[in-house]
Order: sequence, then C-alpha cells, then structure tokens
Amino acid sequence: MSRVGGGSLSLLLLLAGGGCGPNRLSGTDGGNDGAVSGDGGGGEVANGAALYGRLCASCHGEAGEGGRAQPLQNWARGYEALRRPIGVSMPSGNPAACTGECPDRIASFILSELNTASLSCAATRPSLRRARRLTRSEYRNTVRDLLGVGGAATQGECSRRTFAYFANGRTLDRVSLAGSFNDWSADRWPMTFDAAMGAWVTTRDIADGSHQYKFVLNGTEWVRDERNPMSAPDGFGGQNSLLTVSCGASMMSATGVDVAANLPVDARSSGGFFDNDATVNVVTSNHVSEYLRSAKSVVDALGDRVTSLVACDVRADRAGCSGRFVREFGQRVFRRPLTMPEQQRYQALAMRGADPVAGLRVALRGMLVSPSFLYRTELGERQGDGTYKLSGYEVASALSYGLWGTTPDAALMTAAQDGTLATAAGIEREARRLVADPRARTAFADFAMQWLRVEPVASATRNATMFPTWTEALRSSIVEETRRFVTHVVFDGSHRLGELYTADYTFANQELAGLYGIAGITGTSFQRAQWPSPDRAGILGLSGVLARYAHSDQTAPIQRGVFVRVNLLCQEFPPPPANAGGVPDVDPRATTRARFTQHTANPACNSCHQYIDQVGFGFEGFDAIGRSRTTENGMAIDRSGALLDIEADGGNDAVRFTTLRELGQALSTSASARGCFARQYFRYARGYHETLSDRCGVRALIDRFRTANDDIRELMVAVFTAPEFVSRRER
Amino acid sequence: MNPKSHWFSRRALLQGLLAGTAATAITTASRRAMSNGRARRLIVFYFPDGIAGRSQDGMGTLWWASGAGSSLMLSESLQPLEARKGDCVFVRGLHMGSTDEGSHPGGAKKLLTNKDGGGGSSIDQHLANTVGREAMHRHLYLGVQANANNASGDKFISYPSAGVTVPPEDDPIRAFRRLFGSGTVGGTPQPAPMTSDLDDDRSVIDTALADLNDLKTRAGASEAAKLDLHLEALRELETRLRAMSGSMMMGMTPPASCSSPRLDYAELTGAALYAPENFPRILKAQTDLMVTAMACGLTKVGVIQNSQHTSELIMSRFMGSEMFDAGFDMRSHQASHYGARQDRTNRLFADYIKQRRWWVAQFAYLLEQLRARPEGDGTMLDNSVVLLCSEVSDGNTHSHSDMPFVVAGRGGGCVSTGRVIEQNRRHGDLLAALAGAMGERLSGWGDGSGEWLPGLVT
Repeated sequence: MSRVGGGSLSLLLLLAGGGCGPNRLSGTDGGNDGAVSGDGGGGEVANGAALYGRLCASCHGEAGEGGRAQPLQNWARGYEALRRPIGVSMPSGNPAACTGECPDRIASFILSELNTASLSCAATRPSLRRARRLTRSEYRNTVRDLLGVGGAATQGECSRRTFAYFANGRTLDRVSLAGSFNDWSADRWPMTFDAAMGAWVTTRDIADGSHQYKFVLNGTEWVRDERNPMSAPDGFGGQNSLLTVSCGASMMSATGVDVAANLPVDARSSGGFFDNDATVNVVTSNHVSEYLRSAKSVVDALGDRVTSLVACDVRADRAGCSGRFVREFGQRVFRRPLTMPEQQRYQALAMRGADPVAGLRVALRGMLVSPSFLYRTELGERQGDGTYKLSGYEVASALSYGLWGTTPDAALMTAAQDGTLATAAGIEREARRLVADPRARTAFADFAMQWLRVEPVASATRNATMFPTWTEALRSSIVEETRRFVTHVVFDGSHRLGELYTADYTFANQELAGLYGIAGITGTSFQRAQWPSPDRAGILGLSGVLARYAHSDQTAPIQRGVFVRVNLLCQEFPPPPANAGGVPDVDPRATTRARFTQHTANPACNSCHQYIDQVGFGFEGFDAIGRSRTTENGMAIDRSGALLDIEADGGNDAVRFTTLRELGQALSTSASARGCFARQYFRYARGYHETLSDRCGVRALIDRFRTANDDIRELMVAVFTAPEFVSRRER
Repeated sequence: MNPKSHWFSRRALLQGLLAGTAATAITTASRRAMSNGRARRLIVFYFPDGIAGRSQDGMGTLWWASGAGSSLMLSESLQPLEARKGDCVFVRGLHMGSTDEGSHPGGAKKLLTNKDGGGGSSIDQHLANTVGREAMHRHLYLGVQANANNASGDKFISYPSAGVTVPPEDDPIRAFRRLFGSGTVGGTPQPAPMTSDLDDDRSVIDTALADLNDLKTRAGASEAAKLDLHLEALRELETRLRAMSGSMMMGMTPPASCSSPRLDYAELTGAALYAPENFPRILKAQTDLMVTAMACGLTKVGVIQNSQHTSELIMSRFMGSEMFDAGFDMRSHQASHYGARQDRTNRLFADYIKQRRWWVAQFAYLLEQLRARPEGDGTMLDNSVVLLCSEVSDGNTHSHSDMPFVVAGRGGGCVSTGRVIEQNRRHGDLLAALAGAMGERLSGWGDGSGEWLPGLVT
C-alpha cells in the first residue's frame, strides 16, 4: 500500500481551526463588550479578565458557567483553594502558561466577577448598540421582495423561475400557473404541493420578455402572486403579477441575475459560525463598488416600471409624485420613515435631469446604496437611565431578518408604526405570526446550515478513484437533504430539538437512496425515507454532516469529534500548548482509529483529545462521503465511542455508545446540547457571540426553551421576546 | 510609444487631478519616482502551514540562506529563488512572541498586525490608508481558494481594524471587473464600465455620505470603527469617480495596457473555483492581475493570500508539479505534520519539502513578472517591496520563532538586496521597516516593536 499516514494531520491544529478561539472575552465583541475593566473593576481584576478569557474560558465557559470543565460560578471554597490549583495545574496540559501573578489575578477575577450571588442579574448590562450590515442573502432577498428582481440562483439558470403559492393552511385540490407565457392556460402548468415548504410550487424556464401571470386555485379562482410586489391591472378589477426576464441581455442586467453574486463574501468572526456577525461585517470599498453597480443594474432592469412603485403619475406631477415616491417607497427601502433631510436629499436626486422617470431611478439607486438601507440598525433611542431602547421599526427589522431573512412586510411596518412593537405582547404576537409563516423556513434553514457548517460540501473534493459517485448531483442533493430534514423537524415534525438528534428518517432522492442503500426511490425529487440501518440517527447520520467532517480520501475523526463538542455542545478548547511538540510518526498500515490513537498517546495532547477523539471514533462506521462501512483496508473497524463528561460539570457522566443512534439519544436528553442549541440560535439571531453581559439572558433563554419542552419554534420566539432584547447600551 | 511613458502620464494625470493641478503634478510625480528612494508599492505573498524549520527532535531548519552577494547560498527550500536571490533579503531569526505559540490561527492573527489575537490593524491596511490613500484602490486583497469551507475570520491575515478581518476576493474575474471594468479575459471581452452615469454616481455617493454622517451622529460612540471604515470606503470610491470623470474631461486616453488590459485566464465558477487541480492557474491569474493593477498605478498595496492556514488543499493534484500524484491525496496541513524527524523516506516529509518549494517558486514567478516590466530607470521590482511569509515557522511544531520571511525588491533604492539579515527580535520591526520603505515613518509596529529592523531600509 502506498497510502502513507494519510490522515495523520492535524490533531492539534484542527482544534484551533475548528473554532476554539482562546480569546472570546476580548476578541469577539469589538474588544469592548467583555472587557470587565469597564465595569469599574480594579486593574488586577481587569487583567484577570483578559487572562481568564485567554486561558480558562474555553473550557470553563466565558461566564464561568462550565464548559468542557467544571463551572466556576459561585466558588464557595475560598481564595486559596482556587489560586493554588490554578498555579499548579492550569491551564490543563500547559501550566507553564500561567505563572507568577497570573494565578492570583485569575482567582481574583473568578471570585469577584463570576459570582452570580453577588452579581445579580438585575445588575447585568444590556448588549451593545449595533448597525448590522445586510448579508449577501439578506441583500438578495430584500431586493427581490422590494422590487421583484434578481432572485435567480445563478447566471446559468437565468431564465429559470420557481413560482410558489403559499396556501397558508388552506386545503386545495390543485393549483396551476397561468400567464402570458402559456396563453393563460388554467391547466397546462400544474403546480405540486411541497410539504417541506408548505407551498404549491413549479419551476419553469421563462422566455425573455415582460410577462403577466396569476395562480389558478382549484381550476377556477384566479389570484395574484402575493410575494411579488410588481403588478398591473388585469382588466377585471384585480391585479396581474408582473415578471420580466432578460437573460439574453448583457450580464450587467440584473433581472434574473443574482444581484448579490458579486458582493464580497460575508465575514465570520474568529472561529465563528454565522455570516451575519455584526462585529466583523463591515463595508469595504469592494462592497461600495458592488452596491453601486448592483443598484444600477437593478434600476436598469426595472426601466419604466419604476413608476409602478408609486400610485401617482410622475410625468403629470413631477415634484409631487417624486416626493410621494421618496416618502412612501423610501420608507419600505429604509424600513422606517425618512427624516426631513433624507426626504430632501432623495427628492433632489429624483429631480435630477429632464426625465422624471429617470429621476425616480436615480433616487432609487441612491436609496439602494445608502447606509440606511445597507444596515439594519439596533441603535435604539436614549432612555432616562442612559440605556437605549430599540424603536418599533428596529424591532420590526430584527424580527423580519431574524425570522424570515428579508425585509419587513406591510403588517410588521404597521405594527411598528402603531406602537404594537413597543410592547412585549405586540412583539410576541408578531414573532409568532412570523414563525408560523412559511418564510420562517428559509431563515431557519439558513441558521441550521451554518450551525452544522454543511454548505461547503457543495464544493468539496473527493478522491475520484475511491469515491467515483461523488458527483455534482450528489453533492447538491446532500446539501438539499440537510436543509429539508432540519426544516421538516422544526415546522412539520415534532418541532423539538430531540428529533433533530433521534429521527430515524431522512429525505432522499435517487442519488441519496444510492448512497444510503434505500430501495425504491427514483428521480430527482425528494421523499421521506426510513434509514435502512438502525445505526444512523438525525443530523448525526446525515451524509451532509458525515461528508463535511471528512477528508478527500479518508474520514476525519478529530473533526467529527470537534463538531460534536463545539457545534453541538458549545464546548471549546484552548489551542495546543506551545510545548506539545508536533505529531509523532505514525504507522501507515493501521486503521484510521489506530493512527489517531497513537497521536493521543502524548499526555500533553491527551488532556484535550480525550474529549474529542473518543467521540469521533464513534463515527468510524461511516466513510468520507457518509456511506456505511464495516472494514477499512481489509481491517475490521472498531466503531465504539465515548462522550466523556457530556454535561461538562466535571462529573463522571461518560456516555458510551456503539451506534450513532445511541449518541443521538444521549444528546437529545443532554442539558449541554439544549443549552448549546439555544446559544447558537442566540448568536445567529442577535448577530454576535454572547459575552459576560449576556450570561443571565442566555440562561433565561435556555430555561424558556427547556420549559417549552425544547420546541424550537418557541426558542425562535423567545429570543425576541426576552425583556433585554429591546435594550442596548452605548459602550 | 514605450510603456514607461504611458505609465507616467497616466499616473501623473491621476495624481494631478487629485491635487487639482495636473500640469505641475507630472513633474512632482516624476521626480519623486526617480529620486526619493522609496518603494512605490508593497505586495505581501502569503502561503499556509509554514516551512520545514527546526524539527521536534532538534535538527536545524531547512529554510535558510547564508553569505552575501555572489557567495549567497540558499537551502533547497529556497532554491527556486536562485535566479532572483540578488533581488532578495533573507530575514532570519525573527519571532512573533510567545502568545498563542503553537497555534496556526494565533500566528495568522499576529502575522501582519503584530498584535496578540489580531488586536490591531495590519500593516498593509495601515499603508493603504496612509501612503496608499490617493490611489484608485487603496488596497487589493486577492485570495486563492482562501474562502474555502466557509472560512471564519481567523483564517485571514489582513485586518482593517482590531479583531476584524475582511475575506479576500477569490475570483479573478470579479477582481478584474472591479479594477478595470472592461478588458479581455481569456479572449472574452468584458463589458465596458458604466461611464455614462458618472455624474449620477457621484450624486448617489454624495447622498450616501450625507446619510452616513447622519448615522454616525445617531450612533455616537457606538460602531465608530465600523462606520469610519464605511466612510473611508465611500471616499475611496469618490476618488475613483473623480479620476474617471477627470480623464474623460481632459480627453486623455490611458495607456493601452491599462485601458484594455488582458488576463490570460479561463473563467472558473462554483466548485471549479475551489477544485485543487485548478489552484495553480488561479494563483497565476491573481498574480498577473496584481502586477497589472500595480503597473497601471491602480493601487500601491496588495496582498495575495494562498489558501488558508491548516490548509486542506490537496497539492498532490497540481499537474506538472514535482508533488503531482494522480493516485494519492496529500494536503498541505497533512504534510506539515511530517513527524518528529526530518526523514526523507517519510512521504509526508518528502511532500512537505516539495510543497514548500512550490510556494517559493510561485513567489519567484511574481518577482519575475515585476522584473519583466520596465519602470523609471529600472523595473517594477526595483521600485517595490515584496514580502513572502507564512503564519508559523516549522509546520509540525507550529513554532512562532525563526519565522520564514523573505523581502524582495529594492524599494526604489532604499533596500539593498542580495544578503541575509539575522536578528532575534519581534517581527513588528520588519513590518515597520517595510512601512518605512514605503515612506511611512513608524517607530515600530505592534507589540514589542520599537524600531525598524536594523539594516533593511536606508
């Protein structure tokens, strides 16, 4: 065999690469949220905070709540019982990193700042005021929902459109798509009900040109596409939906082209999961160039139809109608009423040049490049106590982008305007409405795909000799499977976190059926299917997860173990100590498990790797693309695993398992897994990694999730109805 | 017409427009370029996962240079620079401090910031906003598969502000369009830039600036760093639009190589942009693009980031390279953990050496491209400083000591090359010296740095 030591990589480094930043306290919040010095602590405590953040927080939790190692909140055994073990043996595996005054400073910090008895929740601080730049997907969705252009996935599919009619609970026998593109035939283009979306859908190639269309319900009832804001009178007192396709035109034309395609990639924080992290997503000159270019192509594509965005005739009354356009449509673009100076600025843009219609286009371009469009602010209004409270409009945007991934609808804007969103009850009512809407699936899938980090599978490479079936079709099916599975559990299944870990089914098409060995599924459409083997369970058994945490030619047990610890249990690890040395030479003929076992023979490595490797080894029954296997290079595979200290409280609560289903069962009832899921959702919804200031809020959120029997829809509501959600502080 | 005069007239014109005095600026720009002994540009060339440094069992580094001038000797890892060694300074012995030593991300955070945890802006971004701020593009950050696997921020080396990295542009076509608007890529003409709406563009930017100032007022002390970056980005675009409309007003045609630049590259999209076998040609395209943009005077500060630390890049799929092996996948990071010993019979170690040599060869290609273009009395390389770097020293131990730095180019005359500088001190002194070569006087850069690296820049 020429297969030398293939995966012998990286032990140490995968840890760090997998997201174990040591530096949460100061590194992820612009450097000032977690810095305890601002709380008026003395120099020693402030210094202790930094040291704690660097050396301790990754295992003991940022707020001492416990993580991979025991909790340190409410330490009751006195200073010396804390300082001495820190000096002797901490950080684990690398005590040389904390000598001299370091143990004293850390002990002082723990006693004074991590004591929840003396530091009551009433005294904790609101989170920082922020301006959150739209992500690429938020930008894309927003432009589509405002203007009805630019939603197609890729340039290659320019002419392809998916039409969706959301029945909103209404039972229909049949729905079809009728329009100028099919001679208004009420039965030629039937739509099919997609249970995962909760909508009737059809995907069609549409020829270049301007089209009008409607949906036909039960063969008789003609309705417009409510998700498409572009419409025109239908001659019968109603409205037809409008669609323009111009794929033959230059690639600068936006209609049908992904308007976000050229935007720079969104940033993630160090070790972070989510592309909407407000602490790192800034506007660079590349952004500005692309915003300018994209806005131009959008308004060019709109052409004269810009006049349909306002209900007046700009040619007959230029000044009056332009003013109305700026006021009314501007409010939709900025997601709040315009200020007087803004009204004047955009009015001035609209009055440029001789052509009143072209003027509207310039004004619209301006709006689409404005920071008032590009950021959704959570700055709030100053209160008597010096804190800030989010405005109703800011709440509307937070709900809409958080729960739908797009701009607020008319009902949310009304709720902002009439004061509904100034009350907790009003926020809860709207949050529940949004979570019940099919659009919540889009945003939740966006969260889940990033939480699991499955999307890179779409471009992952495999060794063609070993994995000849690793085709584009399979990769895209794998990504779609994960999306369907998670949205099904949350919106159509039990809604509970546990089912994400224990489900004995997935959604498969022909490609996936081949991968899993499921009989009787043909074609490209997905259907629910039982796992053929009892080994798999929930997300742990998805090929998306198994293939994501694998190399081109072999499995990656360390990555899989880190996935469970970091993604699913929020237990982070410090970087390897400087004196750990490298990876020892390995035996190339051994199984993957045996090779990695050699690595952790080094005690300096094993202090962390005991918590990782034993978990990852439990996935060895599945190869690098997620197929079941029983042997490797002719050698039998030991696929038993162990999850030591699952609740991270220093107890002996090791879970030993021989199938992923057993691991899934353990996670489905784990308090750590519940707490982590709530944390991950908090990070996504709030747009930053939680800090010391959030310790009480996060704890309360986890409690609400638990008392709601782990219903994920309740978690989605709870993060926005928490009392501290509307409160912000200056710095 | 010779390309040299093209370059000058274009550049001088732009500078003149910015100053509002085109005629006098030509003289000023020419004189400065000829005589002030400063680099016109900085290019950082980063590769992942370090080099074969001092091994775990104590064997000496395989990345070294010794001697000077004609007796300058290079170790095998640096051999691809043999032809260009007279244009290089091999900097040995620098360290990045002990914080996070043993960590790839910890090293990447310190590499250009010299701040623990990336707690400050990086030298390239600082230069972009000082000596580079009048350029059409203050900063050009090109990646090659650098965003693979939804990379999180600690994979990137360029920090606009503390704790904030920006992802590089991995797609040569997108970068090309942003830089040139029009031109030819792989024989396909690209659409012309939008020139008809320049006045509208400027009004739109003015409005955005007004809105941004309102937002800054409302935000007060909150989000100050973020909104300042936005402000600078808008100002940069303003500069660009002013220069574009200016050149049209004056009826001035930019030099042929800049008005219709060519890029020899076949477009790759989707998964192909991240396929390992395509890496070499994407890197070549990004390198060519960097050199072209610099030649046209579009920017003074550029960074090329190859892949990302702890790289999964399968380098054994590079056709025609010495590590090519169709039947075997060898990743960069995998090879870097070659074991405790420098054992050439160990495939990991043998491949690691080949891989590192390949990175050096690509750096040499960049230098050759710069050298191929006349500029002033010499070549572009003579007027540049180019930095070769990685985030760790030895890949197996993740050491942050004796970091692998090579500085190339004569910096317009302020760097004397063809030698070795060996100093045991923080690498911030090197970064400060490179800034000095660009005409930005800093007393040091980042933590534990208080002066320029002695002997590098005069």
